[in-house]
Amino acid sequence: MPSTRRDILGAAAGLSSLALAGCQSLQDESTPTEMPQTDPVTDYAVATLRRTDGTPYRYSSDDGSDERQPLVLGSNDDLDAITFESPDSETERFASFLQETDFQHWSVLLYQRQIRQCYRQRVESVWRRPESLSVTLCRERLPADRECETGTRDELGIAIRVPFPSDQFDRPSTSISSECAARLGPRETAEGQ
Amino acid sequence: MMHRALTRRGAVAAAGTTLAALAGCSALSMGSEYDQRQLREIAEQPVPDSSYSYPFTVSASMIDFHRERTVALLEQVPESVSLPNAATASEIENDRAALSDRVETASAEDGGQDDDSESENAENDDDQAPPHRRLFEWRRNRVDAASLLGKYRAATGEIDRTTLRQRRDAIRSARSEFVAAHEYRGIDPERAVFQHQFLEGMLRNVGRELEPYPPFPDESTDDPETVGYLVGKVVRAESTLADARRFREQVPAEGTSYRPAMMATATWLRRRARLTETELERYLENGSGSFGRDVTGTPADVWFGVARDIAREHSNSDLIDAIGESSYATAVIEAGLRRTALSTLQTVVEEIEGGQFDETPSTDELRSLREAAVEAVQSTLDGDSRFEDRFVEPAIGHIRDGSKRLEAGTSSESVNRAAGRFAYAESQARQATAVAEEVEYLLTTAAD
Repeated sequence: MPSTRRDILGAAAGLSSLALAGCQSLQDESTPTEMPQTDPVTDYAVATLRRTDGTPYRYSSDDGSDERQPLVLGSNDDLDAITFESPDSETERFASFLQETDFQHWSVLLYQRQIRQCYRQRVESVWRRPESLSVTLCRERLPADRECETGTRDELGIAIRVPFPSDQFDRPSTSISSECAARLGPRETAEGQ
Repeated sequence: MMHRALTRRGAVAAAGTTLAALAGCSALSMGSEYDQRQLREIAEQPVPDSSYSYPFTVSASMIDFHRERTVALLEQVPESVSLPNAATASEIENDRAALSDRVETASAEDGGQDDDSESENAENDDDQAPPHRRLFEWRRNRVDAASLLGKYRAATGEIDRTTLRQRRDAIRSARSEFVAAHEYRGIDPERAVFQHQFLEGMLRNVGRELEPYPPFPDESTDDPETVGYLVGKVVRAESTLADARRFREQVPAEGTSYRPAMMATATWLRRRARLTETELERYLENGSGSFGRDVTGTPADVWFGVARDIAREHSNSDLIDAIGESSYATAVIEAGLRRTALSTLQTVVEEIEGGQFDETPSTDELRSLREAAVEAVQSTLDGDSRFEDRFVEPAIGHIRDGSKRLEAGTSSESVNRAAGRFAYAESQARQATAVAEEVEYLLTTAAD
């Protein structure tokens, strides 16, 4: 039987609607001729959850929309709409990451993507524009000594915790790069598989 | 007597004066359309071939060495690869198959070329690439085979960063020994400049390939692609240094070292160019607004713009860098190019200040401009100095570029853009001859 958020997260709160940031567009306030000012966001945190046998999480209002578009979790109530199917340690770690978010100051962008089994997805960069965020995800091959098959895809959940409450930005834009540029720069081990 | 680059008077007299003839030429009104067919006909006239001559003889044994190493490296990568990561295994297999095909094709094309007397000057089969091209290709094949083997060994955990670092250090030492023993000898000063400039370029490439970047991954299995690339860099450094050694065997072991003569020549040319630069400072700084009249939108504006851009491209600081890196032969060539560029700018400025080239040329005048440019370039190429061939190269580029502008449109703007470039090519070709003579003179007298 699938575990609900209550099973996984413990604490229960009244179900409420998932308030998706981006409902209110502030676009009219910007001047179209101005170049948008962008700043790199560096203090974000990432957790991933990979599933070979099903979906990493379910979202109660899932409309099967574009996997490039993340859900934006802006409050504890938003977490109620998320359920997990496989209650193992990896799932608990991922769920805890969501639960530990201080939504007064932070919010979480939640992606669900398919990925070839011999690859992993990384967060390449997060940029802040006026009223918006821009995220670049990139793909890289898993180490040569990691067992994987070609022609098989896994399901991947990616949670990015960003240092802004969800009412401070519009719906994020996402671009996907087929190669991680950081591959040739300083190496990090921050991100999961 | 010291040679000087041509002055305006010299240039005009020698040129036969296409530009002088254009003074006061009947102008087409700005914005007129030209006949596309006629412009295309002008654009399609032949462009002189640059006269490049490889400075060393490439022996068949040099090519054979890289080929044998390529095959030996490739044989160490299995055709069927078994790894936990199936995508990496499959990629290595595919890379191997593709490289193997390329090597087989290249070997078949090389078939029967075992004669060690082969040289750049020897007659080749029509279908056969020249020996220096084949040397380059086989060196590249060797590097690709080494990268592939490096990638395979990284994927199977058989290579570590220490091995690579030690190999890199050994090549760095060998490079230093090569440089320490390098004397700038040659059969004559001109050949010495071109041969040693070539060797300096090879040594720079070796140095660049030895830069330890990108970083080796924590574990070789994490990123076999990067490890393969790093191995390829090391092998490129190693094989380039090996070829440089073979080339240097062709330089006389005894006789005059032209290092002091090269240094004196580069320094003299640099100072002369610096003086010219100072004289032209306001034109270089402020552009065409420095002329006594408004030349905006005229062929003169384009003519000056091209001359100014090229003069700025060959900067004093780049030349000082070449001298500072002890690249004496490269410094001579760079100094010659800079001197040519500034002397050309000087004649262009003098001509424009004298009232030349204010109006858009007619089709016939445009044709004459291109013909004059081609004639001047060809005349420079027909000389027997390699310096002329080298210094006139920018002019050939501008004839080609000007011709392309004519294909772009029939407006007077397009015609002006082409006319300015043809005029530049003519001026530049004449200066190239003068500077080449100056360089020859300086090298010879400084070496005596």
